[in-house]
Amino acid sequence: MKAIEDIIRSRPDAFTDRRIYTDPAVLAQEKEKIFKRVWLLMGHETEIPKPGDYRRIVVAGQPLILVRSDDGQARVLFNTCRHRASLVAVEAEGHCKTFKCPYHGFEYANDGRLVTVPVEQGYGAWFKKEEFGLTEVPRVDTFNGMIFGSFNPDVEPLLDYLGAAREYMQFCTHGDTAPLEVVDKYRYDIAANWKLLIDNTMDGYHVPFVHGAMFEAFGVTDEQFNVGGSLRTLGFHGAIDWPENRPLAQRKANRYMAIFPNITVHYNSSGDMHAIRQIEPLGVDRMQVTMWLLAPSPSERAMNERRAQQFSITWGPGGLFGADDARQLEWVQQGMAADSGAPVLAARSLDMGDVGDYNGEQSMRGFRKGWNHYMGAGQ
Amino acid sequence: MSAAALLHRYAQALDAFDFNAVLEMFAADAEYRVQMRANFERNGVLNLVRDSHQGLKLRLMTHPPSQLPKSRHVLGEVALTADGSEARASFTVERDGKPTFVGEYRARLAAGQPPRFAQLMAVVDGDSCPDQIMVPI
Repeated sequence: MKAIEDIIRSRPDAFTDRRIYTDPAVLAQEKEKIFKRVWLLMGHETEIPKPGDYRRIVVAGQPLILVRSDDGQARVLFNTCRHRASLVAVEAEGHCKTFKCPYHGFEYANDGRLVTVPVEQGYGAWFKKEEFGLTEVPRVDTFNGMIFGSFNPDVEPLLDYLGAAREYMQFCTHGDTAPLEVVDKYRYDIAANWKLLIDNTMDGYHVPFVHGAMFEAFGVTDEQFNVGGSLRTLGFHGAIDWPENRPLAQRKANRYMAIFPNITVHYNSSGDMHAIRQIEPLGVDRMQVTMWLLAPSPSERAMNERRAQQFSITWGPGGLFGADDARQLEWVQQGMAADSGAPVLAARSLDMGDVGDYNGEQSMRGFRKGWNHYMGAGQ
Repeated sequence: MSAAALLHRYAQALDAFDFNAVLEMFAADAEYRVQMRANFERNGVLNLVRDSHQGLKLRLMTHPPSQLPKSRHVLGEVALTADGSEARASFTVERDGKPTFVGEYRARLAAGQPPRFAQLMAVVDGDSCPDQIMVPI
């Protein structure tokens, strides 16, 4: 029989040094080695439907503009003037032909080209406007309306990156005839490391404990609570499916997914509710979550209100389940600070391969393999 | 009792973890809502909380006070809208001594006595909800 030390050493996907959740130096490395190398969610096409529509966003700490330029293309521009670095878009969202820097009046077309420099002759002959446009995030692509970008010009194609997760993404983000559209969104903070929300989303084991009181209040019996379902790794991504014996009289399968590194995608059959979460690290012990509610287009306001009602009961910082999850993650973060040297475990169903039961931790391990891959850890 | 007095009693009851009293302040068909200001201003459908009386009861009865942060509600002056149908007041909710939620209450009273909320809405300022809303704010 292997000694426990050997098992821990041989499975870096299952046994994690708790300092990766608490050490600011690790977060700094994550930003360089993960967030600057992979595909990241920037927003949704339906948030910028018309040429000139834009939104200020911050992704991986970078101030950006998500904009549909006059040629109809969705672009992601760094929100910083090439002159003295000021933000050029200062409003949260809007519609414009150009972005004009408030500091010295440099003006950029909505595709990033520099078009006006006040008193341009002051620079001399070396200065050429075409060399001083807003810097563009080098790779942008879409999947079912979700706009992804990468700071890495050599990143693999988006479809290859999504890999085995594509089929699940299709289910979660596409209606009968067209991609779903954004109905509304909000943001919330959790005082915990960003990775913990990914872990939590792919964790069925916690449900009877963190949400037990709420299920009991809803009258769900222990037998009904035997939710069954499966967890699976999809490369570095993961998915969790809940089948017909899901409680609360839900008929269709629920499906949650995690797209490495910081996106979760959700379908709740109760209320026909589709949602996407993007997790932005604000610090090693604080994350900000942007949550989009999606629906088929067109949807009547009344129908979307019902979806939103189900959404608010379930998800987010005020959801009867989401709030309990968030508070639990804050308790985990506080516990992680214990300098005990003991690793944290994602070691259930360790020998079951890529698919496990609802209480397995396969998907967490898939995420950890991705993390180890990009960070060069656990080799 | 006025809307102002009811809002002050509500705030005091929350600070005292007197959740039975909080629940009593809502009419049987009342609605309790919390919405981020951006969603409110664009008439968005998403709320952070949208509870019926039953949902509010669940929220209040499933979270033991011993596991909740201690709160202090600070209310601004309560003013009635011109038609008298709604009372509004700025609020700050401190949690464990730190200002956490800032915003505005919008309260409508139910008909009859004793005064109860027909709807209480908390519109929260800021770009991001800063903390969990386990129990009403």
